Amino acid sequence: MARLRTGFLQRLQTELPVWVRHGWVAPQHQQSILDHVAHQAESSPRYLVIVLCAMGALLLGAGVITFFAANWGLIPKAAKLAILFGALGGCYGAASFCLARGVEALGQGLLLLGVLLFGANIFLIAQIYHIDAYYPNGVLVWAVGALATAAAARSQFALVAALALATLWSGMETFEFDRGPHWFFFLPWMAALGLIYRHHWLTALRVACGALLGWCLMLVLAGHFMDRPWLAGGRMALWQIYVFLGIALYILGRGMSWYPRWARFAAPVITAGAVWAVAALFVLTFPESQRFGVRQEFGGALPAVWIGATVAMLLLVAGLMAWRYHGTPLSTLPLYRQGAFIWLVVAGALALGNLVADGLYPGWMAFGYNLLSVSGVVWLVMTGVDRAEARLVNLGFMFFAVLLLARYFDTFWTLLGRSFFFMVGGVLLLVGGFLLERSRRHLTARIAASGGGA
Amino acid sequence: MSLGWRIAAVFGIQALALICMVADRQWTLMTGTQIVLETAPVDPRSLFSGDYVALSYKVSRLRPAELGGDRDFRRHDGVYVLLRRGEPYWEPVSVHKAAPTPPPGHVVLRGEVTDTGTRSWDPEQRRTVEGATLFVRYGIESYFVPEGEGRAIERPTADEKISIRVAVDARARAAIQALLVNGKERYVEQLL
Repeated sequence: MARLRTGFLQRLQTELPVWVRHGWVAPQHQQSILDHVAHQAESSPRYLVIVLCAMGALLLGAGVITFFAANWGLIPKAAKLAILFGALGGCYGAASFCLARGVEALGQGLLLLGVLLFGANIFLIAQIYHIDAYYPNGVLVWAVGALATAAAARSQFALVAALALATLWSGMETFEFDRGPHWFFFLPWMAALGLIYRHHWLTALRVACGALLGWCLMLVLAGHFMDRPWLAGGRMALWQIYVFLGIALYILGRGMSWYPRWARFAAPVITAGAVWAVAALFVLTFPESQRFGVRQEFGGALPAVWIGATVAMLLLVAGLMAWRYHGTPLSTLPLYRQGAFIWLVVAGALALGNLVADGLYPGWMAFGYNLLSVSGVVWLVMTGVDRAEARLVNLGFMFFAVLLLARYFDTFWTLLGRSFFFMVGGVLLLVGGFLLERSRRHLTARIAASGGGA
Repeated sequence: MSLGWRIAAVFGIQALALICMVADRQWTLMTGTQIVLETAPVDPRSLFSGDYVALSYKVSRLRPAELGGDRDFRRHDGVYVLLRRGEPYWEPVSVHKAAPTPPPGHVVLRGEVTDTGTRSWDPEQRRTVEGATLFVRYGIESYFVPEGEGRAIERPTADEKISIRVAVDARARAAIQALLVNGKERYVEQLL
């Protein structure tokens, strides 16, 4: 923020005399405006300082842990406990001291160090007493401690740590203890959302969106690599559901932007939804992803649970679309946005058809998802240009390039000789990359010129 | 409440959580009945914690058909194992889903079924034994030792026999009190 303000200040210093000359700004206000912006730039914490403090906290924490780990056997038990509690209390005391004196970045870094020390203490006490208990609980306690720090001390760093720890906890439960979908993840996640809303923490919101998508990914990976019985062959069905989950998040984000209280949170939700929808579509473009049918694990019967979940997700998207376009005549929308309705209907029909076909036509289904992916990515780029949102344009171009590469490898790996394959691939990458990058720069420059954010 | 007090409260809550961990183990060590379990150490070293010995006990592998009590256990079930004093090691008598009342000379140890199987490898007979087997964890499967000493305990010489003295409290929870080599204390846990 400080860097932005400094850049803004430099731009103002250049522009203001022009504005004064045109009579848009009164001459006596010129210096007041510059003083105000300069004061803001000086008083806000600098990103570099914050990042250095956070990195310092992480390095110090890692150093403390490894030092004591290496010398642990030589220290008496009571002394070990005194060191652990003393370090934790000292760290929080120093954080409190710094924050009270306005040394914000260092104080926040020390709070993060406190959170790390709390986790280290849990596992070191387990070591002192040879506790070999159910270890995900240790990570859960650590995550709850981080949440408490975030709530009490208003620390966004601590909340980011809490979200990462909650995801780690859920991953341990999902991968190592095979207890089915780990819904308890949403307890700390929802608590984190409450803090994000209260304190307007956008970085933590991005991490929370990432944690949600990470949880979804763990679910499908557990089914893919560990053959969890509760997923019951529903990998393809789950990816289809994720496409609509991403779209639902995207529409929700767009809707949030209408309300002043929620508008500031809209962009990360929109981006997370777009990323997840396109990523899930990308997975479904591979014929291999269609071959793991649902019926194979149910002796020929099509389980109602996957049909029900898919229909529920389609209804959610339909409901959100109805909410989003309530009172808006569709004929007033640009043609590409009208096309979104047709795209959604086709995508819903393909998803349900794929469930019913259940792996019988993997090639055709993958072909259908390739068409949906390309049209979806084009739609994303058009939306980005229309709404002056450069991040959507960048996202669309990135996925388009990945999709092209994947299809090139799929199609020509077996058809062409190896040396020819690599040579053609290299030329395509160089030329295609140049053309794509030129188009992307052209579009983002247009957006920047029209005042849109990058 | 000022920021300083709120941070102090966070420290208080986190310290309380850590004190509970310490107190729980101290209570087991102070009040528990001492038993000795036969072990078969496997696989040492943890990157973050210096050396440790991963311990497997004779009572970690139970065959309900050869014991009294309940038979039908599934993965992640809680299990109560009734142990009887033996010389030198305590032996399993029966396995239960609910905690039984131990008669004199017996203790109850609580664990969790980590897996079930229809056959298992018997290290004593050095052959696969048929029959339903429960693989049980008691939370005493790791013993941390000074760095560099884990491998020696992990691979004892032919004339060294490793066993573990454990305290088992009234809640059927166990805590390691000492690591014994040929019945003599090598590492002893002190109270604080």
